[in-house]
Amino acid sequence: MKPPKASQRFRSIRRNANQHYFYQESLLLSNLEDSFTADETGDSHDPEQIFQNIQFQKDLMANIRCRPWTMGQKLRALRRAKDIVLKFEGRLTRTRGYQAAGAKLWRKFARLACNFVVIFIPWEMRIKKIESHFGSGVASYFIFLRWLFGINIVLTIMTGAFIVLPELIAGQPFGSTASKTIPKEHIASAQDLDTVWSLGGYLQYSVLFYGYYGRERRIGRAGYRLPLAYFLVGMAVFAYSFIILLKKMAKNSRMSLASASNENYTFCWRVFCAWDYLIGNPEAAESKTAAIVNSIREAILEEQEKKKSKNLAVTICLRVVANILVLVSLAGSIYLIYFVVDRSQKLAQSKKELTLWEKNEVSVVVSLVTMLAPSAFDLIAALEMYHPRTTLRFQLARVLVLYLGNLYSLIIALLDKVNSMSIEEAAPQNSTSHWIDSTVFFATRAAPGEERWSTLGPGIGLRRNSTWASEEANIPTYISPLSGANKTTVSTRSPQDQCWETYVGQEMLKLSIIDMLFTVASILLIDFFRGLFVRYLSDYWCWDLESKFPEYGEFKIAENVLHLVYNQGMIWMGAFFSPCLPAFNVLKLIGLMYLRSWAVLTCNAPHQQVFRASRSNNFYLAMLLFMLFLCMLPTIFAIVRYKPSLNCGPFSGQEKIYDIVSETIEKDFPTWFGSVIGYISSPVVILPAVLLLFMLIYYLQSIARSLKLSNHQLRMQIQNASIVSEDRKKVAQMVEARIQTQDETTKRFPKDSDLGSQLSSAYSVTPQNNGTVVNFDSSSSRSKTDFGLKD
Amino acid sequence: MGGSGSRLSKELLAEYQGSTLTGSLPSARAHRRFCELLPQEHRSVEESLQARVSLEQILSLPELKANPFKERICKVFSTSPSRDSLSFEDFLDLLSVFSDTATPDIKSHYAFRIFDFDDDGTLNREDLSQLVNCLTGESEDTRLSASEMKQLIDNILEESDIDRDGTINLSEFQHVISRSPDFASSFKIVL
Repeated sequence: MKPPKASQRFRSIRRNANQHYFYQESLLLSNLEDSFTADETGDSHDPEQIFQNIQFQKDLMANIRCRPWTMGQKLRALRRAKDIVLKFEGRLTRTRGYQAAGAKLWRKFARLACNFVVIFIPWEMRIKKIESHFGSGVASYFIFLRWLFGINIVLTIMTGAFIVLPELIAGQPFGSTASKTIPKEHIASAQDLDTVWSLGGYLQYSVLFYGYYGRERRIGRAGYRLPLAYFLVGMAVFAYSFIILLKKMAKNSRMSLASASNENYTFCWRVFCAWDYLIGNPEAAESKTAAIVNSIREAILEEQEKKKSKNLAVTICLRVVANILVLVSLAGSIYLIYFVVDRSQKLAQSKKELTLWEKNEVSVVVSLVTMLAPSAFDLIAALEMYHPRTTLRFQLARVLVLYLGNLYSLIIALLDKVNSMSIEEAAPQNSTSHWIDSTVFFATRAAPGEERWSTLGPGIGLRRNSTWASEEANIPTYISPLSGANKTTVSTRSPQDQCWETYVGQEMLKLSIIDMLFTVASILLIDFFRGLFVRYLSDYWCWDLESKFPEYGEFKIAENVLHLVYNQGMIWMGAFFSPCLPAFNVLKLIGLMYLRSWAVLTCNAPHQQVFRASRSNNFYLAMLLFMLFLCMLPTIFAIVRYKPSLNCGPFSGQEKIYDIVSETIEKDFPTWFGSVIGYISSPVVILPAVLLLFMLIYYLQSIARSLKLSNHQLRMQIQNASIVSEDRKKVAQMVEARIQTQDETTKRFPKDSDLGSQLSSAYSVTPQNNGTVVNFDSSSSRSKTDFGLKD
Repeated sequence: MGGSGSRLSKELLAEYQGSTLTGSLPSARAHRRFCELLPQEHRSVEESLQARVSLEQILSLPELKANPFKERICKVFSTSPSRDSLSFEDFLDLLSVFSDTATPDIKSHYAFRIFDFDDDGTLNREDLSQLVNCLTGESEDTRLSASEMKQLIDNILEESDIDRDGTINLSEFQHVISRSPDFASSFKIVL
């Protein structure tokens, strides 16, 4: 029984081997054939075996996509598996019919849905074109942009559906309450370009900003709780962003396991993973080839230089100098922002009418610094003479610190102002006020007693004092006598203007708009005009502009991705105070996508040398996560620290913004629920939970350490095993020599010679196919015994 | 199945799609591109499933033209005895391995077969040097010198040859590739 089967298997293996390789697939296929024949040869009455066979076939059907077989083999295996399952399942049980039919329908539906959804993925053709011209590095920027676009769409839907739409549909209409009307003195200028540019007038009193939303606990016929929804959606925006970002990072790190280990495969990767199969354009292929050659040569040089000793003293000196320069410029930019803010503050105090430049000075300066400083860092980095990848990382770190410094200095100035606005609302007896024009962005803290009444007569000042006092008594309603006090031409601040949340929202939106304008300007000026210049003037210039300075620009992947991260950080910072900010960002990202893809295809040339910022795809996602965390902090701080404005917004009248939650729990839920929540949020529960989390983190870290250790030990084992198999190879060769000599003397059994050659070739395979060692060994040992029998 | 000229029947499409490809690569589009390579008279459905396209025609596809491994790719996926023509099923195979949805295991398996120039199941020094020569192109100034080549191959083997037998086998190759963060995204061909 056994020898025919063994030889049959050998024959099938040999047939496969001629077509393909000694790979595991041939073994799996032979297993498959075995199992099939086993069914037919009378073992079929054992229900246990039938059941196992059916399981095997079902697993096969589920995993068929993951097998590296040819299409024909897969289809045959699939059909056979389906036949077996159908035949035997019918025998074992009949109640599975509906289940099977249901599962089939579900699979069909899922496939249809998948196909359908793919049609809606935007910009596929555009990205494919960029991929084929520039490779997957540049395309990764656009894919990242598209992913951010998806996130912003979801954020827009969240804020739109739960906050904006209910307010528009069921809230008080424009003009009905105090917080929704433009104060009389501003109506005349409400439609000026000036006011619109600084987001005042109609824009300020619209759903764009926090101040528009009403205070009523329930609105509309269904009793929709708008304030609660506002707070919850604000928190949900952050929660959703965290969750989706962490999910994507986890998926990426599962696919590339290198981040946990310190294995170094530079040469292998530069050869095996170098080619970008998406390239379909001969020009791009040439530059890719050049890039690969460069990277290989550079790696070889690096390897050689590791053994040389360098002149360290000069290098270290230069590096110290470069770092000092960078620190100086970072400090300089932060000081510059502070100085400009201060100056605009003083200007607002002393002058009545500000020129266009003076009004927008701060944001222009911020955007200029954001645009120019990275190039300055680039030039400084030339001093340091690091490896290009290290240079890139330093550059990214510095630019990130710059962006964060800018954002944080802006937000600190804003919060300063918020603080002073809160103080002033709480202490109306103080005869201070801020005559701040809505077009001025920042202000420093106002010292008590500071008089700015210089432009007004004392009479009006007195009247204003009295209206302050009366205002304190009537919190939500608007007091009309106040408007009578403001008959001067100087812009004054009415109670609606004291809405600090709207102010913060306005600042963030303005920053985003100005940033967009500067991006567009820089793309056009730096890339487009440079391209035109190089293209059309190189004929008339002294040297070839296209190959020497200035050349066509290269698409700076890392810096542009960082700019996207910065942009998203702005949105997260302002989303709570301006619910339409994600919607604006959606439009901005669409425009950016079209503009940049046009620019890269018309004005840029493919890279000569490509250095990835890091080994893992998670580098940019980690930066985004860091940015999300840092941009969430100011919002949380403002929610926890400051009292909401009295005259506007959904939380006016409360002590703190988050009081809405406790208020809802008290009033709308049964009392036992309230007491349960009280217990859960007390330190008795929170502290042990935090301790538990710390212990869990420590435990998981120690597991990761031990896995690394066992990895290392397995590797050692493999190396030892190969030495053993080398010895076995020698033994096999000796055996083969013996067989050969015996063949020559006795030609009685032609089949044995088959087996013999199979034996030697099988042995030659053994050391390489780790997974197949056992099988081949057992089969060949079996044949050896057969041979022994026949002998 | 006569239907409209060169369209696959729904059942056949579903079978291909369900068993081997996932939704992101409609087999119909692949079938259309394949039919464009056939001579006019063979473009009916039944014939296209049986017909074979010669290597030169496959190599004229724009997605493959610029690829230095194009001949190896076609050889690996061809199931004909002389390894010089592709049937429609081979073509589908090719597209599914290079698609977005193929698992990294499958991709690295096929990458190994593509790089194995002498088809012996391992990557030895000659395979590696042929591989590097393919990558560096034909012109004189981009080719590596003999000493550079030797050093490169020594370094590669030192990094990846775990069992120190002088060749890289499938598992070692897959181990190295699985650690690379951008292999899966660059080993892609999209129609």
